[in-house]
Amino acid sequence: MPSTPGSEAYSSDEEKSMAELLKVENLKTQFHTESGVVKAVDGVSYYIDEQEIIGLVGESGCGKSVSQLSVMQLISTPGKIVGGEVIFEGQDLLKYKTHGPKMRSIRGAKIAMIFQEPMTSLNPVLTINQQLTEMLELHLKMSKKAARERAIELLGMVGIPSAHNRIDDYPHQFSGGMRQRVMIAMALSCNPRIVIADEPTTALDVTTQAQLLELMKDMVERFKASLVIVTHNLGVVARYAQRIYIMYAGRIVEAGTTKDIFGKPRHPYTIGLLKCIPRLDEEEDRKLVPIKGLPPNLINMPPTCAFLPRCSYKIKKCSQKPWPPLTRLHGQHYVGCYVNTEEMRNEPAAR
Amino acid sequence: MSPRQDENILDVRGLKMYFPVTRGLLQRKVADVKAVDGVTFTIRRGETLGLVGESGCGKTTVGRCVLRLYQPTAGQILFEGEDISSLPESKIRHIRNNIALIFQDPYSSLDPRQSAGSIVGEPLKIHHQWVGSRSEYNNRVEQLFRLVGLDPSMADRYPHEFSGGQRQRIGVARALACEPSLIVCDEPISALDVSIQAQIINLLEKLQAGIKGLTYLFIAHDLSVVKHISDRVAVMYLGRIVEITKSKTLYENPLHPYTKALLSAVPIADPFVEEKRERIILKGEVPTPLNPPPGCSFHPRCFMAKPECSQAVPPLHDVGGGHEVACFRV
Repeated sequence: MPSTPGSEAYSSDEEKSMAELLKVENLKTQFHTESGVVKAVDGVSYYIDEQEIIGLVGESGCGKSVSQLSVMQLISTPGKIVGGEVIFEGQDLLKYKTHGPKMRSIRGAKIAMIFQEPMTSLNPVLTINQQLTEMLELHLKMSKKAARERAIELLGMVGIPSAHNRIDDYPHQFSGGMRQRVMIAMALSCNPRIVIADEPTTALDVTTQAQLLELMKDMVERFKASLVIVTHNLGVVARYAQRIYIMYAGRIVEAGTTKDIFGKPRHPYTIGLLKCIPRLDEEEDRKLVPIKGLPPNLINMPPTCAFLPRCSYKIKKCSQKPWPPLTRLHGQHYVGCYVNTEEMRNEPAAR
Repeated sequence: MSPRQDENILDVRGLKMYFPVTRGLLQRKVADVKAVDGVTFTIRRGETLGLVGESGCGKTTVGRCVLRLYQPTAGQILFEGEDISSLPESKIRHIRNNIALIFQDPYSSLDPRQSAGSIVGEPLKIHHQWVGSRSEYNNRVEQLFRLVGLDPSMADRYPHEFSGGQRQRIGVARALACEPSLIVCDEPISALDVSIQAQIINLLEKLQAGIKGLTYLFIAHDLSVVKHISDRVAVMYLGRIVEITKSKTLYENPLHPYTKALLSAVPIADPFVEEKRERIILKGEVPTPLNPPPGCSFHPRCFMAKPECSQAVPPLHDVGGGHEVACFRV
């Protein structure tokens, strides 16, 4: 695969104000199934700065969750991380053994995760106290008593009323929104540097979603952590993220600041996504423009651009050359496409 | 334009649907879940009415009552002028031929052991008037496939051979089979991927433009989708409609505090707009319909509540131009 960006994928000429916290280079994760090799993540590179909120956007099956699980080394058979680097605090996490003490000291402690399903990601047979204090005792070597006090404090911080009474409750005694609050408290319990939120509010109601996203934003600010929001909801990242990565078929197709992506989307897929979602503030008779076709099957992918069959901007070069690598447009805006959609666009983009 | 354009195809008055909660060996009734508690609205022929609300607000129950999948506890449902709320089971079938349903989950709403063609054609067989000869039946199925943008040659395939979007098209074709005048769409796109959602929304819009008098009751929780497809929108909270108006007005001039909060909770995919938007973050969660708060059921979470709000239920009143709100403070 010659097409993936090398280690200088995101060159930075300008001095960045914040230090780089995590850098993922050319990450590849594959699933070996009976019908073939699924290249779920196929050469993904990205970085997160300190105290930054980034969004990772894509449709189901684009590899956004798998890429995050790979960073945490939570990929189980038949999945396998087959290449790349995950540099965190100067160390390549992929060199650590999955179950080794080094990885365990990072997983959950320095890089924490909030999962999509608040119903299934808590253990139903353990009390909230048991689940919250386990991490504090393990990672921070707290005593049982101190851990319990800290757990009550954390529950209070995430807005669980009368936390000292509720700490001995079981997950089923909490509503979906409250369970996700517990998950947030758990993720932040060991003062992580990075919190990865994988579709954190998809299963929840709109007003609860807004409460929790606001809470997550406040909490990562308070704990001086960075946040990765993995979602398919473009609205959520428009509201909260500073930078956005758009994923398609296991690769990042466009990256940039939130204003780059929404203001001047360049990849045909990004443009398509923005044209096909209804917006609250749209004109009354706006027509949605669906992206034709279907997302590709990740087995036996052609060497050319995976978006090619659905692309309305395609040129001859697209079917002759391998998947276009990410190239820099300006600043932090990168796009992986041979077509200069800017020039080809004969109508106002996406807005 | 049909001469009956302005006629109400559906007129729901004071609809109540209580589900009993039973306990013990004798199944004694101990309480009621007031899923729908006095809902009144009308839909004009050819119109799309959106019904939004969070889970548990009773929007799906309203849809199911309209289809008479439930026997309502109280209230009237006038469909084309006829009260169907208390029709005996034997006469309901004739109504269902005119009211169809599109389900949320295109995976579980299609029988995996029936071919796509037979799924689409089944309503024709049930409602006998459509089945003349074999060829007539086949022609109609083929026509339905074309109507929803599927290749009729795929009629022999089984649901698992189709993608999510295609399955939902089969669901739409099945709903259209008996030429219904009203289709209840219950979250028809929420199980689909973003890029596929637009295909189904556009299909529904195209069908409505092509079939004279086709009316939708569009139930969903996604406000931007509902606003896009609907002519008017009704917002539900805990079994009651709190606001109903034209979809444009709803976004530009929401009056009920819950509507305001709901709108502000939906992020717009545009950071330039988002920067300037006011955000209302509600306190707490939706209370259980088993024991709703007294008076206006929204008052414990309301940022505009006054003492009188807990005393009585605010009635839905017209504030002009068909914009109805149920709030004492408006």
